[in-house]
This record gives sequence, C-alpha cells and structure tokens, in this order.
Amino acid sequence: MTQQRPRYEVGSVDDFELRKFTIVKIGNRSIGIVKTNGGFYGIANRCPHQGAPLCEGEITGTMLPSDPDTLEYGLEDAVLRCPWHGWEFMLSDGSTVGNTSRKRVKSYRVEVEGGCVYLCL
Amino acid sequence: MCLPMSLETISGSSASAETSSHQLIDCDFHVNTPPISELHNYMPGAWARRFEMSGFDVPATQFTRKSAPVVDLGAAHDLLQVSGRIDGTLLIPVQAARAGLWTDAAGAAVVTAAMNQYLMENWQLKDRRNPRFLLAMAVSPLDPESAAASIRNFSADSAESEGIAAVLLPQAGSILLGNNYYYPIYDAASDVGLPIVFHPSGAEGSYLGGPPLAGGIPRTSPERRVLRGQVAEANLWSLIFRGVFERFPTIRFLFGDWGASWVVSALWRMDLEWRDFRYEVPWVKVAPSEYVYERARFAIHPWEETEDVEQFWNFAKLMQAERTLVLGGLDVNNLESSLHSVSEALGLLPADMRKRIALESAQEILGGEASSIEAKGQRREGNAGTTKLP
Repeated sequence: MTQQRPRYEVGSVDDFELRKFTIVKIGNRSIGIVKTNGGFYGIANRCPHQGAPLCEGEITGTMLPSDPDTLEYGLEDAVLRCPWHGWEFMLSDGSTVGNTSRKRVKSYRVEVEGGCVYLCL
Repeated sequence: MCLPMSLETISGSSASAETSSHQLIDCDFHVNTPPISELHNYMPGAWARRFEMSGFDVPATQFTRKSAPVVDLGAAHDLLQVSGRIDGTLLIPVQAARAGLWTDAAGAAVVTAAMNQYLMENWQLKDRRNPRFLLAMAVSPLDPESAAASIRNFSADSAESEGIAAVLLPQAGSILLGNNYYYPIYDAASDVGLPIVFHPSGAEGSYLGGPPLAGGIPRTSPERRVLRGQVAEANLWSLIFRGVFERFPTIRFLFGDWGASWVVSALWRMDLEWRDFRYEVPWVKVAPSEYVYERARFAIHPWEETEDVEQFWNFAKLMQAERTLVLGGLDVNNLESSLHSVSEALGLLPADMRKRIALESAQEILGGEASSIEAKGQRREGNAGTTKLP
C-alpha cells in the first residue's frame, strides 16, 4: 500500500474567486492556492528572486518566444507575475517563463474532490 | 616582473616559462592607405577624374596625434616577422571606415572599394607566409544594399577574396547596429561567413551627425576617447535586444578599440533587464550574455586596462576572458615593448585562458582562413627558438 502524501483541506470550490489567491500557512511555509480557467494551482508565496510575496502578483498570460519584431500573446491564466520585478513563473510547475532564470518557485498539487479543495504537500 | 605569490599560484608556474610558446593573432592592426591619387587605378576612370576635379582626398589617419600608428607592408612585415611571435593580424583600414561616412554615398562606396582593392593587392593577402595578413574589408553603411553587394562580390570569386576575413562596418549616424537598416549587410555577411568588425571611425562624438556620446558633446580628445565605449555598449545592446543574433543565427561581431572593462557591467545589467522585461523582447530567447559569449568578442590592449597586475587578473575573471577577449592593437612602432606588455599581462593568466585570448577566440570569431593559422603555429612551435616571448 502506497503511503498517501499529506493533504490539507483549504475550502470548498465555491469559496474561490477566479484568479484570487487564498494563502495558507503550514509550518513556516506560506502557500497560495488559486483558481484559474485552467484549474486550481498551488504555489509558494515567495519569489525566489528577492523574496517578494509572489501571490500578490497578477495571474496573466505573456508574450511567447517569437521571431524578431513579432509578438504572440499566450499562456493566459497560466503565468504568475511577481509584483516586485515582474518575473514570470508558470503556475503549473514554478519555472520561469522563457527560462530567464534557473531559480524556480516551489509548486504544489491541488486536488478537488467532492466539492472540496485540497492542497497536497 | 615580480608577481604576487597568489598570482604565481593562479598561473600554475612562473609567467616567463608559461608564455614562451603561445601564438598570437592581433585582431586590430590599423593600416594606412595612400592619397587618393594612388587609388585611381582601383576605381572607375570617371570617378578618378571626379575626385581629381574636386580635389577630394582620403581622410587623415589620426585626429589627435601626429605619430603614425600604421605602416606599410614592408615595414610591418619585417617588424612582425622578425619578432617571430605574431602569426596573424587583422588589418583594419581605419581611413576607409571614415570615408564610408561621407554624405556622398556613391562616392563613399567607390573610395571604400578602392581602398579594399589597394590593400588586397599591396598587403599580399594571398601570401600564406607568417605573419598572415587578413583584411577587414570596409563597407560604407550609407547604402546597405550596395555594401551587401560588395560583400557578396568578393565572396563570389574565391581567389579574389582570399585573405578577406571580416567586414568593417562603421555606424551610420545615430542608427544603432540593431536597426533593420543594416540587415542587408548582415544577410550578406552571414551568407559568406564573414564576421562584422565594429571599430571607431573617428566620427564618434567628433562631428555633429556622427554617432553621439551620452549626455552631451565633449570638446576634447581625452573626453571622447574615454567616453566612446558608450558607443560600443549602445550598439551591443541594440544588436541583442533588436534580435539580430536570432534573425541571423550565424552572425558574429568583433568589437575593436572600444575598451572592454565596460563589458562586465553591461553583461550583468543586460541579463538583469532581460529577466525583468523578457515580455517586451520575446525574441531574445537566451540570456543576452549567452549571445555575447557565443558570437561576440572584444579586442583589448590588456596593458592599457590597468597597470596593477592583480587588478588585471580580477578583470579577466570578471570578463570571463576566455569567452570574450581577443588581442588587438599591437604598436608596431614599439613592437618589442608592446609584445613585452602583452606577455606580462597574459603571463598572469592560467594557460588555458591565455591561449583562448591570444589565439583561439580570434579564430572562432574570424573563422575561415584564420583557422588555418593555428596549424601553422603548431608547426612552428616545433622549431625551437622561433616563438619565444621575452
């Protein structure tokens, strides 16, 4: 029998407004859970750049890597932009968009079951 | 030279022993062209008459000093060959760079082409003896399509093009090098595999309408010479953030005579700004410094950067010198002293870094015929006594 990772109930699905983070504190960790059109995500509330409260940033899309002098917007609702210096992270795995840094944010799996939202550690 | 112990340790052994066998390529060797009357045979007859009638002549060599930094083939060859330490030089026709900025774009193209032809014939570029003379052929930036055609024209006839190793491109007014204005030139250079050499033309901060320096218009030569690194920095940023390295995946740039210490802070800052503003330049797909390490080099006079040996070592580390620097600007009129300074400076560095700066980086950025210099150098290394540095 595989050991279940701990998970925490953080509220009902209906409690979540689109693109508005709910912050939970577990031990000394601050973790943001958010609902987007792409689903629920959990991500550490600390930017690996200079420690900004990342979940105060905007959930948005961004410019995809493109040919010179052309712009292509995409990844709507998939990107979290840090409020301090604008670093962009993928909500899905905490990596920087466009690989601008090797630093990444810790991301967490969020499960929805029976109308409840669970944060998995 | 007495080295601090820490530097001897860094170098692995004493400097004098370590510097005894490396080969050099000088990537910034200024050469002169004669008065225009001697260039008549290298241009259409009507243009020769045209210049004769108007009393037009080639630009003076220097703005600020009377001492000639450039010499003719005979003197240069004798000096360099006797020294036995220099395997290749990239000839930079600085006067052609300035002629290319005349407002008469057609006349500028004619004179520039004539200078190229003159240098090709009179500097024996096809002669494969040591030291090998390679030419940065000058183009005028005032008519990019014409410049591109001249680059392709040289390349079309391989025998004719032998010894051409780069394209010397001055900046057109205040149009930075990343501007699509220059793309026909980059397209042609990419097609024929030549790097672009960006070198001061003398117009920077000197003429109204020339590439401006930041903040205002300096009045004196020392001000201009200290400040002109700004021109290189602005152009490097322009190349990267306008996506030139993405648009032209094989283009290479050699920056000569702009200094190099500014590069350290420029690279750090460029990477920082890219991380914050990538969305504004999504075509910049890797960190700006990576484009530089891969496809740009900076020719330095290491003995001019600092007189403090420990500072030079620190500078080399900060520069990632093995990925960024090449040598340039040996003073042929004081060659022994100049080479001695090079030896002292390089002798402070680890052997791998030293070889990168003196030879390998130059070969990477010049490519083509410069690559064959190493084989020649290696053969010579076997001949005792021919490559000893002081």
